[in-house]
Amino acid sequence: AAPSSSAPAAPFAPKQKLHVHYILPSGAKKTCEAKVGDNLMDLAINNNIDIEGACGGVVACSTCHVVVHPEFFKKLKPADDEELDMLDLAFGLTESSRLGCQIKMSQEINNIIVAVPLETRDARG
Amino acid sequence: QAIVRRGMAQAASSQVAIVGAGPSALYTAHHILKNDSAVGIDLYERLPVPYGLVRYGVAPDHPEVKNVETTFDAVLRSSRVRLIGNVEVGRDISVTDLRAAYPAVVLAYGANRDQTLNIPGSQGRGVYSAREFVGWYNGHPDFQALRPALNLATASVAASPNPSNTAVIIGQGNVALDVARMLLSDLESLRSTDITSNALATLASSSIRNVVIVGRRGPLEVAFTIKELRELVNLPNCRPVLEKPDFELSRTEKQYISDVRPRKRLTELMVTTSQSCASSLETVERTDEKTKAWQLLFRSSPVEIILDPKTNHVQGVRLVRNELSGEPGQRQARPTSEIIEIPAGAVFPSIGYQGVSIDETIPFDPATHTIKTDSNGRVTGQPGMYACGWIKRGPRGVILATMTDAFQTGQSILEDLQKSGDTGPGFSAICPLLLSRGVGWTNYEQWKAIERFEVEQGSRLSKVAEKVTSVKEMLAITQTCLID
Ligand SMILES: Cc1cc2nc3c(=O)[nH]c(=O)nc-3n(C[C@H](O)[C@H](O)[C@H](O)COP(=O)(O)OP(=O)(O)OC[C@H]3O[C@@H](n4cnc5c(N)ncnc54)[C@H](O)[C@@H]3O)c2cc1C
Ligand code: FES
Repeated sequence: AAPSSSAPAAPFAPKQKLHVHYILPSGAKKTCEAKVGDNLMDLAINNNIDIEGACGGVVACSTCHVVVHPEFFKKLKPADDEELDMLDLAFGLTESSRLGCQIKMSQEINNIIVAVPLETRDARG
Repeated sequence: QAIVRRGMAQAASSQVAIVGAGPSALYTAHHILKNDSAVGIDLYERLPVPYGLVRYGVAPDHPEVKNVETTFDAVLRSSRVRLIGNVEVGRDISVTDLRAAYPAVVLAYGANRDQTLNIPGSQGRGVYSAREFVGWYNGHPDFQALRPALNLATASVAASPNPSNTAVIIGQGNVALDVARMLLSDLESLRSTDITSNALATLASSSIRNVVIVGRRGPLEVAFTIKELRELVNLPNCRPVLEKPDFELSRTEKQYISDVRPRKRLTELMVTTSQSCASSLETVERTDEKTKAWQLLFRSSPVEIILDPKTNHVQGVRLVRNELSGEPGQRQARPTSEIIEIPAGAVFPSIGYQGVSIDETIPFDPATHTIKTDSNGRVTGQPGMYACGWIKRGPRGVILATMTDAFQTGQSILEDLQKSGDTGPGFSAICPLLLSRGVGWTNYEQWKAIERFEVEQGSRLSKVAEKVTSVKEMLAITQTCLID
């Protein structure tokens, strides 16, 4: 059958490369290439960015905490209770904090900017 | 008896000795491995098995938390790391021995004692500290003799709540909620976990249906976190009991919580739960005999554990009601003259773990039961000595906090070693000491043999693992693995 205009992109169409910009604790910026579906915790680790990902991405730690640029934060599907519960334990929690392992790359958030927070002792409860 | 393996022959540049192989030890090692390419690390662990409270504290129904073991195993597999199990520092070798052999010695041995509840009756039968109970269900060799009596359905007493089906937990932290959840959980949700079969059988025969969780202050001062509370709220076949008046917050209280998001969300969960839940254990008992229940009881401190004079077994807890003063979040509890009694057949004090000193040369703070250090983990006045984890910061905080702390200590070690360039004989100096003292030690391969054995035993029972619960048995397995 002839492909209709609303059909998903043909599998052989060139995959568009997405980008993620990480702001490191030092203030330096590191830009990484990503594919649709990549999560920001794995992507960081694969690019030697200092994020721990202690639980392997199952929302059982908060070592993948990132602070999302507000422009992009509002485009993300809101965090569920489970994620918010874990985030509540993160150091340096902000209004636009998320768990990196729960942010999956898509066209809509291409060029997303996230900061990797410095784990300061002061924030410890 | 001595279990000597390749450890002896391996001459790495031993520079760091770590006491303990729990999260703080392993994250310190992780940081060093990641940020330096030469330093060799030896971990001295009291048990033949590593992971500390991740293995023996974290509840069996939290397998996702144990995913940290993936990183821990990668650390232990490193050719620059040596696990020296079954060696207790302070008994088999001293801190002084280690300092003579290594330029850097890290104390990461956790908090291994109970904060004690000093009230009449606390030595009675049926009183189990949460630390013992948690160690018991998780298969820690030190606590297998505990054999808690959870089937209390002997005397049917007309009191309500009925002592034979009520347990009281003293303390409102995450460990208290873990204990409550284990006592109230559907057995089906535990059956396939690595809880010991022995603990499963005991829980299966338990008559406990009500759990009262007692805190000395109010809802704004609870120490547990929201995830653990939510799990309890959502427990199947189990109802929460919260007294509405506890949650009528004043303006200052509302202001206080709105300033701190975690506190706000946690309090809101309690408030919403209180709006729809039962107001007493009695009502739950009356409406449905099968339903279990837990209650958060605030502003109460135990003054006596009431014992049966004949059997010395717990019959209940006598508590004094407190009044609170001061700023929300830091309020002080002061006893009033009002006394209440809760009939109960089991009591679980969950008022905290406590660190001990393992060597008199180490500066130890007797008030906090922690080792004195600067904020970056250097032991006060003792160059070359470091501390991290619960023995440094005190027995609180999730693995994340322990990890952050360990990374800081690891960083201090790296900075100091890079400055001094010191190395030492390391294990090659300790090994003859252990041999001459008749101490047998185990290594990484032997731990893996124990782990394999546990997984195999588990698969026969359709469980993730069935832990080996005695050191003797562990050592027997490591020996078979040598013969194989
Ligand atoms: C009941 C309970 C449940 C918990 N659940 C969670 C959870 O769900 N999620 C979470 O994030 N955190 C949880 N935690 C917190 C977490 O376990 C701690 O943050 C962490 O284990 C502290 O690490 P540590 O290395 O300081 O101490 P430990 O884990 O206690 O490790 C110390 C190690 O040192 C060894 N040792 C002791 N004395 C000696 C000696 N003299 N010589 C040699 N070795 C010695 C011990 O055997 C042990 O292996 C829980 C804690 C408890 C108590
Ligand atoms: S990696 Fe643990 S929550 Fe994201």
